Amino acid sequence: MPDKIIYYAVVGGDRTAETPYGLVRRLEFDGDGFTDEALRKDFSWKFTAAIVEFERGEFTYDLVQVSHAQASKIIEYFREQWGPFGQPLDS
Amino acid sequence: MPGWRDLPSQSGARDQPARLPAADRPTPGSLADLRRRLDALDQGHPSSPRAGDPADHKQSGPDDSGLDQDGGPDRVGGPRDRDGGPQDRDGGPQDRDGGPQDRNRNYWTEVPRFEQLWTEHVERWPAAQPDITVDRSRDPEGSWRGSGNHYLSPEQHVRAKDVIGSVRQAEATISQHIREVERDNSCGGRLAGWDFRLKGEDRLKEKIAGLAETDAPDASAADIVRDIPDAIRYTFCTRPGTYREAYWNIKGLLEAHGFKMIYSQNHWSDSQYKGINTRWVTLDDQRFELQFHTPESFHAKQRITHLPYERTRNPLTHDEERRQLGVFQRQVFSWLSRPDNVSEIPNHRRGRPPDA
Repeated sequence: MPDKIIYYAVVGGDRTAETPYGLVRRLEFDGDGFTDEALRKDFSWKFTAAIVEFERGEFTYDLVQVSHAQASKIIEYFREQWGPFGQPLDS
Repeated sequence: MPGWRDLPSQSGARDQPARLPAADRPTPGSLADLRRRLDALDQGHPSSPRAGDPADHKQSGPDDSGLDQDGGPDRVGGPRDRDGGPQDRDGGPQDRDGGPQDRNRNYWTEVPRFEQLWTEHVERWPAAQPDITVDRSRDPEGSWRGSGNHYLSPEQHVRAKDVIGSVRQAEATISQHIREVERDNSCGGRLAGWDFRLKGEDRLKEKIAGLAETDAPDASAADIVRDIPDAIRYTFCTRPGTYREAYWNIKGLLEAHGFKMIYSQNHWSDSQYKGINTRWVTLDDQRFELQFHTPESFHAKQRITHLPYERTRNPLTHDEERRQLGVFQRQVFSWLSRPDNVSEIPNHRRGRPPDA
């Protein structure tokens, strides 16, 4: 179980933290490192390098930290966009 | 102090940590060698003479103390001041793993230690072997699947190939302008990493697939291929004393050539990376990236922390190793000389340019 979870909205162009391109999160394990995940269109979480890339100026879009409540709203926004159960992934 | 010749060569230097010249090392196995190696170990390293219980580790200096200290992930992606500059101050004491008594130490004197630390890291954490089976048998015609199992649908693949083709076409012209800017700038800015200005085709497809699959799934394929900023990347290096002036001088020259800056991010207050990354668009709507570095920050990025960064990005990397890699990279970047008045260079975002 992570000790802390930090959410980030993926924004760029005319997309804001309310209408982002995506949602990523960092799971921190006290003293044992961290791992990063992104929300996919089937509403599963999968490893992402987006936060690490952003730290190095390599990520295409901006990341804006959001609260857990804001993250929940973003997921609801994506349910409206992608359907309540998401969309099957091509891969 | 190393000069320009010490920059990674523009004609073939690969992204590998430079090897330590043998003449700089004590005799292998000697007491001096052992002492140097022990002193170089991270404070949390089990063989370090400073290693103690976890509480000791927690009380160590900022650069040895892990990600829970200042500069950790909480700062990453925090609400950006889109047009404001970094919040820290110029000229303040840098958090380093050395002390104020180490006046003769600088980034370049620490490079052998960084290399040794990396060697020991690799010994402790051998590279994880990928166990990926790439099965293309059921993929539709026209799709693409890379060796890391990233996937592009036929529509996405067509768009990716289009953007790759236009990048290859545009690069020669942009590069000619960039060379002219190098010739005309008045602050000694020199191009570095020229041979790596074009991102490889598969790497570009992987990046597009990663955004579409996981990182920006609500972006359209058209958005993604348009927004990829670094299919073409240039780097200017200038000395810390003229860095700020060089930034404005080169920016003005690029604008005089008809390019528009759409993004600038000042990373000099960040801990995991230092430099300024800018993104530009040509009159033909071709995007490219331009990084501003000092010789030190370019060396730190390209030669010392590139492989650790790649490991951090790797999904197979263990969480604890990922934490250690963050500590290492922060330590390396903490030794860089800060360019004069660099915090006066603001971040910048510009809306999308009008569609052609």
